[in-house]
Amino acid sequence: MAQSWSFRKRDATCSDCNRSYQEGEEVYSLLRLVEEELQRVDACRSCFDQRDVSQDVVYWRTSHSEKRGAMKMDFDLLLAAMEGMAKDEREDRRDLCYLLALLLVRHRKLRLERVEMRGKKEYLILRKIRSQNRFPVESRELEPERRQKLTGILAELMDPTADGDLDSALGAEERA
Amino acid sequence: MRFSVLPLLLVLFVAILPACSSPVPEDESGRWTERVLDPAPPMRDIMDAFEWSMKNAGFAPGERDDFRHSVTSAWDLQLQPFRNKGRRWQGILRVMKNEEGGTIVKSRVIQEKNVTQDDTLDSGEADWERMEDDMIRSRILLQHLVSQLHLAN
Repeated sequence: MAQSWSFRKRDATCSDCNRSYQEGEEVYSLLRLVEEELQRVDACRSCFDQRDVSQDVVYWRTSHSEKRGAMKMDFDLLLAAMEGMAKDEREDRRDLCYLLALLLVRHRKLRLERVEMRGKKEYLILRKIRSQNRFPVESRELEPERRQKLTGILAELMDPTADGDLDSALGAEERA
Repeated sequence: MRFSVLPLLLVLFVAILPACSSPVPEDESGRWTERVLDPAPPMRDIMDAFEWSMKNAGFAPGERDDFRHSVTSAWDLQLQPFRNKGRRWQGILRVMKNEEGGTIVKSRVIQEKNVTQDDTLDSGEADWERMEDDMIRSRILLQHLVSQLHLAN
């Protein structure tokens, strides 16, 4: 079980080689698990290509901009991350997967079809909108501190360049 | 003859006070699903989350009781052409303190079937009979609530 979590907001340099980005340059944002520590990395193309792929949780490509835009949420990215983690047995990923599932259910990107008990564990049976495929995600009881850290990571996933917490992001999204 | 209203007010106050401080006991019958909230958000946020959860779980708006800290949905009606096949469901969400002083949220979904022999597709003719609470829908409702409460910082 991860005891510490480190992530940070995206800055103007590559996380691995510290090279400054050019305006419009491709940046690969990556969430990875290194010795049970969840890290947020923003790498240039060269460093991204040399990474250890076994540590990947999810990655996505953006372009560097000096301007700070409004916070945007990419549900397709979150959905892809969640689908990938749904099959992963590691505790860290199951916690994050559960919170992602709740987020996507809340925003109606996933439909919560039913809840099943398998032994002592509870599973959410989820279905993507406009799809017939169903998949289970384990319901987790998270410690408050851990939950807050994970929701912080989710906020980072949504937009690493913007300030603000997940709640304000969700509020802005619901008002739109 | 002059009357003092003070004794009268005092009598009224003594008579009304127990009614204010001792609400009717909650009906705790039925099968509930529950979860501890730690830390617990403000009560108003929990009540708002109750209403959102009901909506997201497919229940029509019902009654919000800020005094009893509960939200009860309207009946979710599903009439069927055959006897005993028609169903209706009502969701209940409640927040209360447990013995340790912690805050717990509870969900329950009441389920009834239509046993009328007449026009089974007419809700006005329906004759409803209580069934076992719908535990699956109750768990779904609670997960919708968790999605509202756990993702808020």
